[in-house]
Amino acid sequence: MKTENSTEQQSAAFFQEMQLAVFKRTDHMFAGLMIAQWIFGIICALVVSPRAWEGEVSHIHIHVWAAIFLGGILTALPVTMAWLQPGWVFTRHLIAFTQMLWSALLIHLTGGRIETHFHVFGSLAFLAFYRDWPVLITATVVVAADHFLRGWYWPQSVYGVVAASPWRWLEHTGWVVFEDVFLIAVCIKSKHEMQEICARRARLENVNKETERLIWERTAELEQANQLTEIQAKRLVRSNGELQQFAYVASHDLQEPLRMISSYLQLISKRYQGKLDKDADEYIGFAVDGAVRLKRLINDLLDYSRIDTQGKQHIETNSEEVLKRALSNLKMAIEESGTVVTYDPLPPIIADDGQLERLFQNLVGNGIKYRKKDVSQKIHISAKESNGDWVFSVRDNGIGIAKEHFNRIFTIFQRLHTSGVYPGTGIGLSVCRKIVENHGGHIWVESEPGTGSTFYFSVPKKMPKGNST
Amino acid sequence: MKKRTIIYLISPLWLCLVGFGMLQLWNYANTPGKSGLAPSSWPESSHLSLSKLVPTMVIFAHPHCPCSQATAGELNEILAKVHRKLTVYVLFVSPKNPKEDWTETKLWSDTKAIPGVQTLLDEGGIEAKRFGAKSSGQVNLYDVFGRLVFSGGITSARGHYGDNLGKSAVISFVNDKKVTRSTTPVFGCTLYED
Repeated sequence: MKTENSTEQQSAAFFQEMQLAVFKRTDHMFAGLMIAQWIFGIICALVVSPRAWEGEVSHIHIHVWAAIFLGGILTALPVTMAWLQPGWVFTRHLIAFTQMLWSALLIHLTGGRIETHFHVFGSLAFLAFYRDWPVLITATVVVAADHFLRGWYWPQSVYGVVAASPWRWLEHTGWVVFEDVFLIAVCIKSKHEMQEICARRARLENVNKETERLIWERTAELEQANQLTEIQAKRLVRSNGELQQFAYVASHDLQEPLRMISSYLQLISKRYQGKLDKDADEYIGFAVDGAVRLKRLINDLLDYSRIDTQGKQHIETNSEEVLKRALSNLKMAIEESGTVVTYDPLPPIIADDGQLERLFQNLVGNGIKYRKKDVSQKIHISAKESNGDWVFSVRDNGIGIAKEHFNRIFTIFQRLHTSGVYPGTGIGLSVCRKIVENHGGHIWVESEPGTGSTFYFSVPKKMPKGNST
Repeated sequence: MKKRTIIYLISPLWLCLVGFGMLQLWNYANTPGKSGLAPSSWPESSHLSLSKLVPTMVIFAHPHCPCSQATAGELNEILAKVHRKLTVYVLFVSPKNPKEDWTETKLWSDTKAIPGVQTLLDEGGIEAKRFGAKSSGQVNLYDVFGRLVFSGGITSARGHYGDNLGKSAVISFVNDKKVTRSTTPVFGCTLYED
């Protein structure tokens, strides 16, 4: 209901605005016409009746003075009002009044020529430009009054008879009214059309406003959601940082008590091995083994957390040299397992050489660990350029991985085998992923169980901004 | 003082001025020229000859009179309606020894162009005085016996075209031999100075 009222009020305001514009425009047009009529009247008087004669003597004809002064007076007020007070109701009614007097004056100056009477009908049509029918009534009243008064005083000059019927003026006015009927109908129709246009405009503007309001609301909601996401992202980063710090501190601080437990357990194992009963020996063995595994887990966790906390500047690094260092670290495992490791020439890249060494070491180490029994394990490392990245691959002919585990293996603590079958902590590949991501790259695997696996990782040729450490 | 108040105050004054001007104009238009007394029978001394077959109409005009342009227009209409049953003389009054361009006017050429009209120059207004004409547009209509049937103007006002009593009186007599009116006011410039 409120919106409907608002639309109606707006529509009414638009209509008033449009109507005022029409009134003002027509006032100005009539001001121009009045001046043109004045000039025309003077020219007409100068051409048709410049001088009046008495034998050989002549003087300026009264028509010339009438055209100049009466025409000037007639023109002055409506033109001034159209200039000073356009759109005012009094202005247009005065213009209608004056325009009809101009018709009378022009008819007079042209000697009552029938052709000049068309000025009356033309003026009525022109007055209809106001789209305000009462203006036509004013004009018609002037025509009627003019015919009535002149017919009363000078019937011969108006009707060509000495004693015209007192109702004769109505006959003349009737033809004006005849035109008025159509013009008034046009004015009313035109006014309704204007109102319809304004109502449509008001409706359209309301729809636009409503749309704008909805957009504004949605934008505000979106901004709020963005702010929330930003806050949550910051919290997440902070929480992640804290977690990493916690993991580092925890694993670092756990090392000392663990070292003590491990030392004493080994001491107990050496001193009491075979001196107690069989069960005790077995329990001591479990405890020693647990302590060893716990130590490995803590070391791996420490490595994982160090990736972020102890990263170095990324600089141009000879990846082949780094690979050689990693292979050197793995020398014993390679020789014990009989693995054959080969590699292609590798490119220099922008990287943290320590982390890259760890990456190669983990991937090659996995290749060695997950080998098939009774099959000579082969590992080959290569690199190729692809879409602005260097893509490294570490291919082996080991046991392979089922497709459904491709993503899972890069998650921390996720293992596909028990530690009894393949020892490990489930941290190695998650460390690899973290190193690669720190370098702005991706890591993935392609594999078929029983055939072997190829681990790929990409490193951008140019280091992305913000990844300098 | 607000503009609108000033306009309200000025408007009645403006209306009075306009009314006064219009009134003067209409008054002038409806004020006849000097009237003369037309001889009741064809003047014997006239150099013009009276037609024994159809009525004779003598019109006096000032060649420069703007009002008489309407008389020429009405004459044209009369002749179209009486179908050559009328002898018409149009005498343009001039001073004695007029300048060469005295008759070089639109009225003169328009009148000469009307078929069946004899256009003559009345130097010194001799014929005008004989026929008692004082104002331009004076029409005297005589029957075949030389009797004055109608005397006056054939326009309704100064320089005003349209139906009028003088025109209908002439047409009525020529076509129907009816005398509807014997005189009307003449609206035109003075033909000569007294």
